[in-house]
Amino acid sequence: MNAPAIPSFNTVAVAALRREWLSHRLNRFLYAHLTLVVAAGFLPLLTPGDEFSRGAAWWLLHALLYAISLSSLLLGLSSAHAENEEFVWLLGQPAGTGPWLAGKTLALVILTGLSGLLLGAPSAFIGGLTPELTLATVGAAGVAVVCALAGLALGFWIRDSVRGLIAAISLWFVLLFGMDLLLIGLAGSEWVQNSPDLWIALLMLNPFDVYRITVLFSVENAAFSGISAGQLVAWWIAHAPAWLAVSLTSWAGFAWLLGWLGARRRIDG
Amino acid sequence: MIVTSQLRKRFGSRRVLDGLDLAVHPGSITLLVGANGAGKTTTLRLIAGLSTPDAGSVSISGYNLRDDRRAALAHLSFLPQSPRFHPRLTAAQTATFYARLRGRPDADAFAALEEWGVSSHLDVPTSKLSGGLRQRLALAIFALADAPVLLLDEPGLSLDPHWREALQHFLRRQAALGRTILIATHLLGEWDGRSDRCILVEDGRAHGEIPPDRLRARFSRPAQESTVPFPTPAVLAARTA
Repeated sequence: MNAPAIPSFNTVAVAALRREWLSHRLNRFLYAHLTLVVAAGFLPLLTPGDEFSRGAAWWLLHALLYAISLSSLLLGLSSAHAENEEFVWLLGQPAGTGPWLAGKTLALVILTGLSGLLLGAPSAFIGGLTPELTLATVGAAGVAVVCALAGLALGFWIRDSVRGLIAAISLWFVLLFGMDLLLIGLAGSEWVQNSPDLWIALLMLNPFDVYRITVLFSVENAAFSGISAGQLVAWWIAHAPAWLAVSLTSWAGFAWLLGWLGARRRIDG
Repeated sequence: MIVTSQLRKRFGSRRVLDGLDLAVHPGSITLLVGANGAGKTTTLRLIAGLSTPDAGSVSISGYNLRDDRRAALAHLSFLPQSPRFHPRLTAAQTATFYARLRGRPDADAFAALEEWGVSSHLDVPTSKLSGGLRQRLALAIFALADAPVLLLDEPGLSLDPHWREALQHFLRRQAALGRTILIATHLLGEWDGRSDRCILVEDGRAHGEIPPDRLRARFSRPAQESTVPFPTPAVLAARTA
């Protein structure tokens, strides 16, 4: 009999990463996601001549918001639901939930991050990769990663595949439209008019809006016209790419934490 | 060795375990028997760390499961009832993953798959395996952990007679190597006279032991209670008239 071994963090994380990578080879959600990304990557080439650099970023912005964010969310959800039946094995190993989830998450980050970068590949190929388009592409990859991790967390908390799907689509609608509708509704109220920074702070919490407005700032050099700009708006305009990076990193970390709690919850589940 | 002390567990208002004390010794096969809902599977899940007791403690090879979870689980291998796996991974990918989690080389995983007759299905996704093959894949993963404490929940359910026999031989060999083996089962006939101890669980407690060779007799009902006489042709004719 060999002495029982407690595997190191790296051993478990690398095994989980490899397993996650292999498991997506037969995942139809990944192929749907890649198809969307590749198709969206070619859309900027439809923009004629001088308008290319401006139009290309708009193409990517819309492709990310209306299609790739959702396909990333569903990719993460499918990754979590594929583990449903195996938790009884996974949790019975001396591996620990953290290292296993770290490896799984890293594989998902690599998959969605790299596929997100493909959005800019066709434009780069024809020599049209401007700084604005680079920002739009890298930002899109970041939003795709956050969406995938959110889907993963959701899948760990909601075991049933139909309910998980409904929750994922609901979350997507809230991020895409719901928050904005709420903020538009609040915009006329007296307290928002008196403290516009509060309204802006709420807007800055939504990763979709952060990406949308960062691209808007960088491509159009546009700012808010409806509300007289406060200090926060000025700061945001000056640091838009940095805030995008901070926001996406924070949301990715938060989604990972929620996923870890959801996976731990399967003990007794 | 497995020691549980005053294990208690409720699911909602239902009390499943009510102060279960167990001591399962190395070098033996111990059966956990009892009616449906007696608490056998819950006991195994608590020992395997898949469920948290409301009160009481579990110790595996001297490691307290709550205080030293990873060390305790390193000494344990658990075979759940009706095991299922990641549907998109093949048998080989699944087995090598668990080998790595146990610090074993991939070659050990392939050897275990060979031993349990899965080697001709290495590249088949687990969702496409039959129930019996999936159970044998589970047994291969269970065996390759090479752990000193083995827990099995209804291990023979999906197996044909040949593999049930192979499983019993395997477990007997493991007991001879000094491993601690605890099995929850309904297949009493299979195990009659083949275990070293048999613990009866009733109402969430260990209600004493049954001699291993009296297992079938203890739970079998008189023939007239469990069988219905086949109707004679005259009775059938009268019914259809």
